Formats: sequence, C-alpha cells, structure tokens
Amino acid sequence: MEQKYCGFWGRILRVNLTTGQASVEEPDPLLYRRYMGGRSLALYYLLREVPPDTGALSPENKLILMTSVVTGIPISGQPRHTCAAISPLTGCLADSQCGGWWGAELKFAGYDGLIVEGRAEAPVYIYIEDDAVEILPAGELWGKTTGDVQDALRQEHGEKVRVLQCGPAGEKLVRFANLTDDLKHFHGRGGLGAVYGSKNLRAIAVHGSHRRIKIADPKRLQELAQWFVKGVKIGPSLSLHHELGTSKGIVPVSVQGILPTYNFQDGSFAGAEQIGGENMKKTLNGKTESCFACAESCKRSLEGESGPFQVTRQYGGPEYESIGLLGSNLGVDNIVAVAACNELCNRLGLDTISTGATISWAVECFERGLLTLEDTGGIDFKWNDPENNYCLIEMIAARKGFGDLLAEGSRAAARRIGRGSERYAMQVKGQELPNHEPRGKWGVGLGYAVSPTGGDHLQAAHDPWFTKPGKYTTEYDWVDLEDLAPVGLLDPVPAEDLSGAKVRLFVYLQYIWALHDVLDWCIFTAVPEFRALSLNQLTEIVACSTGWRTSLFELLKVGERSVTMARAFNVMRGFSAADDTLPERFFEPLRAGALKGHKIDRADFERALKLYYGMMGWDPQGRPTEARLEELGIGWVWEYQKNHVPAEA
Amino acid sequence: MHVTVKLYGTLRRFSLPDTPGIWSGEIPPGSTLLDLAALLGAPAEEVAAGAVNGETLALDTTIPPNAKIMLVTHVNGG
Repeated sequence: MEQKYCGFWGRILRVNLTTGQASVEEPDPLLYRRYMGGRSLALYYLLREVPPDTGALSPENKLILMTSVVTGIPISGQPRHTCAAISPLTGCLADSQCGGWWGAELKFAGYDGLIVEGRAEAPVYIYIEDDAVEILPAGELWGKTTGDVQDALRQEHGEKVRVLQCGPAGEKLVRFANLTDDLKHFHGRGGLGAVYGSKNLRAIAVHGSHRRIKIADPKRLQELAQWFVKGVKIGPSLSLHHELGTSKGIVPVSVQGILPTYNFQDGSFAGAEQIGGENMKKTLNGKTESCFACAESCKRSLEGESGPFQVTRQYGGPEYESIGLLGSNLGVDNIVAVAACNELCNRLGLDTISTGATISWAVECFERGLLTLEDTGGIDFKWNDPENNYCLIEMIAARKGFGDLLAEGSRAAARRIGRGSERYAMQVKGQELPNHEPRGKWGVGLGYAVSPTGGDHLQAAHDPWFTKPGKYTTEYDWVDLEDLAPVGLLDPVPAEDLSGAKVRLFVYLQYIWALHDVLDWCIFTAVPEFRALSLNQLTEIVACSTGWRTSLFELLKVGERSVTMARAFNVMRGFSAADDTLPERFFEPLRAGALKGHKIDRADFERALKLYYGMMGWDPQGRPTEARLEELGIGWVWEYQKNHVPAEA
Repeated sequence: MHVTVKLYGTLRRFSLPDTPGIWSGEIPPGSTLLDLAALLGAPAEEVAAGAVNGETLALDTTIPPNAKIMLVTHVNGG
C-alpha cells in the first residue's frame, strides 16, 4: 500500500463493536493540516459524533485513538498517541497521551487513527494487522491481569504485536481504571479503562508491516535526531533525565516545599530521600528502557524486594507522580513498597494518581473521625501503612467491600459519606490532583482549575522555571526563559503570583503544551523546562515530516485551537466557570514544610480566571465566543455549541 | 571548613567522580550556600533551593560548621 501523503496516511479506521463492522475513511488532507493529530483530531470527531447527553459508560460514547503527522518517524519524542472519550470519572473530556510503542505500530499498520464505537455483546478484543481487522472473542482473557493478557495475545499473534488494554479494574468499571501499552506505558487519567470495559473491549492488538513512514526531508530530520542524541550524552538536563527519569524530582521538590504530603497537608516529606529517584536506582537495581525510537530512554525497569513487597521488571517502575501519590502523599517512606503498589496498579489497570489520592482522602477522613470502622468494613486507616494500601488497591480493582466505594473516586465517595468529608477530596471536576503542590507555584493551581480534563499538571510548564531572566549557557543547557523568547515571553514572573503577566505566561505555555498533545510529542524531549529540542526545532520537525512550509505561529494556533475545542466540548456537556475551582485547602496555609504558611490568594485567583477567559477569547462564563472560534478557523464548533448552551442571562 | 553536600537535579554533574550526587571538601569559613554553589562551578541561576541540616534556608544563609547540606535545581516530575 502506498502512503499518499508525507507524514500521514490519510486513513482513519472505524470499528463498530455493536455491528461487528470495520471500515476505513479517507478524510480531506486539509483536516490533517488544520488539526495535525492527537487531541485535536480526537476532538474533531468527539464534537461531531458524540451527543452532549451521552453517558460515559453508554455504547454511544466513542473511544478515539489518534496519532499525528509526526508519529512513527525516526527521531526521539514521537512515539506517543492520544486516547479520548467522555470520562467516567468526571463527565467531561477524558484526553490522554501515552508513550511506548502502540501509536507507532498503528501507523505502521497504515492508519492515522482508530474510532471504536458501540458495545460488543460479549468480551472481545480487536486485532489489526494492516488491512486485516478482526473482532475476536476475549472471554478467556476476561478477569486476567494485564501481564497474562499480554502474554496470551503475543502467544496467539506473535511477539511483535503491540497491545493496548484495560485491566480487570476496567472490566469492573472502576471510574479511574487506566489503559496500558505494553504493560509499562499508560493512558493513566480519566478512567479510559472503564470505557473499554463498558464496551466489553479488553484489548486492541496491532501489528503493521509498513515500518518506514514516508517523510519529506529525511536528511534534515536525521540531523535533528542526531542533535538530540548528542544532547542525551552531554546535556545536563537530558542526561539526568536519562539516568533517573521523572523520579529525579522527588527530593528537589520536597526541599522546595512543593511535594504533596499527607493528602496535601504538608509540602515537604521527611522520607523524601528514601523514596527519591537516587535511592530508587540504588535499591531496586534500576535499568533504563525506551519508548519506540527514542534516545532519551527515561523509563525505569526495576526489581527487588523488601519484607512482603516484591517488584518485577515486567511492569516497569514508578514515575514521579506514582511515587508521590503512593508515597509521600500517603506518608509512605519505603520505595520498595511504593514500587510494589505501583506494580499492582499496573497489573490490575488502575491510575496510580487517582488510586493513591482516593486512599489519601480515606486516611485523612478516618484520622479526623469522618470515616468509621463501620463505614470501612473494619479497615483501620493510617499514614505510612503500605500493606493496607496494597490490600485496598486489590479491593478497589475488584470493587470488593469498601473498595467498591473508593472505586467511584474521591469526589463521589465523599458525596456518599458526607459529614464534611468533601473538603478533604483533593480533586477538580472529580479528577484527583497529581503530585504538585500549587501553593508554591500558583500557575499550577490555575492549570488545575481550568484543565479540560479535571485536575491535571500537564496544562503548562510550572512556574519555578520562569522566575529568573533567561540565560543561555551551553547548546543543550539554556536556562529558564531563554527558550520562550521566540513566542515573546521575556520577563520573569514570581512563582507565587497570578498577575496579568503570569496569566499571559500561562496562556502561551498552555498553547505550547497543547501543541505537544496534538502532535503526540513527548514533553520530556521538547518543552523548555527540559532544555531539549527548541520550539523552532519542533517546527522544523513537522516540516521535515510533512513537507509543509509551516511556522511556529501556525503550530501555536494549532495548540490554541485544541484548548478551545476541548473547552467547547465541556461547555456542551454543561460545564462552566463555576467548575473552574480549587479545593479549599489551597486557600489555607500549608501546615508544614519549606513553604509553611504559604497559601494562594483567593482574590488573585478569581481575578486570574477572569483574565484567562478574556485572553482565551471566552466569555465571562468561560464559553468560547463565536468570534474566537471563527478566528481559529473552527466556526463549525459554534454551530454545535450554540444549540446546547443556554444564552447568558 | 569541611562540608559534605548532596547534589540533586542537574547539580549532580558537580559531584566528585567516585561519589555520584555528593561533593565534599573544604570551603572558606563564612561561605553562604550560593558561595558554595559557585565554588562547585554551578551557575547561580541553576540553584533553586538549599537545605542545611534538613531545613530549607535562603541561599544567602551562612553555612555553619559540620553542616549537612543539600542543593537542588528546579525539577519537575511529569
């Protein structure tokens, strides 16, 4: 089969599990120029095809899996893909980018994306091998761990098949069940595993034979790829990330007072050195692993044991977020225990962030007397109790006993329990907050509030990077603001600040971050704070792949388009400015740690929201205006939005 | 005055060759945390925070004798 276009196929596969039919669509190539892939292409289909009153677990919800115009090309940073749907956890958009291997493999099979719709009558999995698409029975896989399912599918279809699956937790419709790609890479957030489960879908296995994506300028792309490879060897940030991965952040963040500890009560953790990446490497015989064609190789593969806890290499190792939410935020200072709980989540298909945060909510409520032994079925909750956490993870995945309540997520569980327990659920729009304390970086708080997927730390770069003037030091090591100069961000802004200058910084950074989600590009290879590929180099990469005479301006508009499309999707589902909130705790002083006593100024936060809506071209209720939608070249979204939103009173 | 410093983030590259993440040596009495960073060769812009004996302190803090020191860069998770 000939690839018609440089960088992409122009082919979208659609599989209907209700009818058992598969079909291929060939959209206008301009669709790829306007949306480029990932989150934007997913939203293009979600906005048009999923009615606003659709339930997240109904057959009418659609799973949209998308690659981009750079996925699968031979350079570090490109192997991710997007999965999007309505979230069972929040009711708003679920949108997640996952690294690993599956996205490139789908591209090698000759598709840019896959839309899964309907519901199978009995458990199934989808098998794709180039033009052959089969819906096959999965009754014998149902109930098995992710590792067992991967082994079974590789035995059936060969060792080279790439598997994107939910776990037993997804089958049980746990609201924060995740998806795993090759057991070590995840669509962690938003409960996409439960959407799989609701469709009786256990896995999508892919193998493709078109292993070289046609691109416009392979010679220049190779030069850029080699520049990056050299950076991994000699660049301070890139080489550190290669050595320790995201786990490198635990100790520094604790010293700075912004490591969530004891359910966000404190900002520094006495056990930070024990659970930090440096100790994890020593304790757990750490090795590095890679995603497809990436020289950064920042993933961990660990093994070891301590007391009752064992860790194997099969499921990788915990990232920064998992270490925080299963470690410091639960008061756990044993890295082997943290890694074992992480592995159990991966085996059962649970998001480690929401799992840890929901248990943290229960521990604090129990400590405050808001939960009783009668509520918990006799389970005694306390901090630094990893054995208990391990049991609870199994109970959540199986929806057993008190685990059935926790499986609904912290917001729903708190609403069920009442007694004021809601104030200890650290979530936004129903999604539990990740491992970043916003009282020391207020822009992260703004990001939590306005994120279209609920509490999320990947809306923009974090404030501390931009508090000092930019200073170029070496080719691979520019500091702070230097890399943002091409978009006109020149002035440092304090971390604890929500002035107009901070909101402007946030808005521009959000465009840049959204662009990464659209291109399915890994932030660890190309965003300013990692001092890797520059924005101008990323622009060149898109041009090398597609042959388009593109520009940074065009790419930033693609990012902005994605943010506003996501907002429109949520507005159509009834979300408004009233949902852009933070837990009350963040307006109260931190109890302990390096930033003890620090809090977010509520008036500054509320003013920042208004400024943000204004800068985005949204109305005071946070709804995209017709004018901004037209300016972004997506006037068609207004036709959908205006019919589903009451006029402003 | 002899000190031992644990280095985190990109400051790890200023470790002694045989002790990854650790530097130890003599510094002039009265040195601050920033003076220490400069002695190691670390750019001031790169030093985000420092701790002395487990307590995070301002970077212009004078280092007391026999202190256990940590210096960190801005590092995010993700």
